Amino acid sequence: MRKILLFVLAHRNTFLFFLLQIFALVFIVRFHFYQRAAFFNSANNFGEIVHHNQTRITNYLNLDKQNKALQLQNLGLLKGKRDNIYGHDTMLWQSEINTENFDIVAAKIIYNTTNRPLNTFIIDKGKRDGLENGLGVATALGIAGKIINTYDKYSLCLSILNVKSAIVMPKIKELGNKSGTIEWMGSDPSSVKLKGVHKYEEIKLGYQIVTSGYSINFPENLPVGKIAKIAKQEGSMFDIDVALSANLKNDYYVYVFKHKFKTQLDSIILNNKTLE
Amino acid sequence: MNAKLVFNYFLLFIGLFLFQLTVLNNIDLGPYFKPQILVLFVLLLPKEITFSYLLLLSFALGLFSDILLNTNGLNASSLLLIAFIRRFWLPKEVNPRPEFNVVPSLRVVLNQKWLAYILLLNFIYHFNFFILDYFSFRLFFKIIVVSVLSCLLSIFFQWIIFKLFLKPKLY
Repeated sequence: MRKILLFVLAHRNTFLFFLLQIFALVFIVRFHFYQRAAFFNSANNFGEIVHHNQTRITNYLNLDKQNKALQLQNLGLLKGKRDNIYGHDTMLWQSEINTENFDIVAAKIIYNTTNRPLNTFIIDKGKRDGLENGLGVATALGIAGKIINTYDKYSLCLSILNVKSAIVMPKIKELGNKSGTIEWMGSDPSSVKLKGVHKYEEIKLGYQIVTSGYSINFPENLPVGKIAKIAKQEGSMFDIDVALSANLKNDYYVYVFKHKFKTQLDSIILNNKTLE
Repeated sequence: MNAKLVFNYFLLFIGLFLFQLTVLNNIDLGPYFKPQILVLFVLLLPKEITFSYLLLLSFALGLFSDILLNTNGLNASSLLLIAFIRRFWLPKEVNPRPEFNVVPSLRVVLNQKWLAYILLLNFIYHFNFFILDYFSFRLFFKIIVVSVLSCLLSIFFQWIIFKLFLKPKLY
């Protein structure tokens, strides 16, 4: 016993190192994302104030770009009423989707990252405005992410640019219901990969990837991106690069989709699970 | 350590932290450059500091910056690792000639040994940081590339800091 004690005392610094290292690893693994947001709430509140002011300044400098984006959006709305005056070059979802079942909340991004493996952004609407976890978020040009944590005034969203979890169930618009999964490879914030499309599908460059109607968090036909590169791999699947529609680095104005009958649908799904 | 030296080290840490928060986290240099600069503080802590105190200090400062930089535990783990292994590169006895020596202090005489010390420990720091950040074997080669490039860029910034603030006193 005495020898053990002496051993520990002799190597106390090594033990201290391993103890602290385990602490740090617990922080990294356990307080990932969802918990972290709740745990560091007060620190995040401080951060939000800083980011709010920072974003006010950058927003002012970006007014020109924002105006152009709003103009594009108005164009989309106009296009819904008049037929094909402006051509089909840009993807504008405002006139294409069916928003009958959705309440749409406009919000502003006050903090945004695009260079981490798990990117997040914070929007300035929260529980007070009726937002909940899991709701889908899109910019004026395309899909952006989903809400993973709500506070009173703010919500934390997981960006589509994350290496861990898929945000959306995609489909290829031109082929109807041919779907795969969207994965981000952790480097380029303007493109993602579409995996799981079989080689016998007749896909072409420029085909649009949109949301399928299977999720209640996104309306159908919300653009994800366009096919930018098709590579044939060894296996039976295509390796497809998709250029994202949304410019997640510079977009500040977003829309949150809330299904009007979400609670009802959720309870149906829950009941279905209890039956199994 | 006298009070003035402690205050100077405190200033160095706050400076590095603010530089990381306001500049390095905001400039966008593409997907492969994510320099982290806080490691310089641990590299420069004097050799006389008690080892257990060094470990606790680097862990605490790492955790503090993690909360504010939104990197959960990554800085704490990496700074602690550097604090633990840096003694293997520090000489047991001080060589009287400064050009063959690695003596961590706020007045650094840069030489080849310093360069090796900084390069190696910076790389270990960045590698540990990114492997815990990505936490995936699928992206292993990407992690290595990101570590090397960020490490080199970080050393460039550290060199600028050396030149601006950490010049040796004129004899």
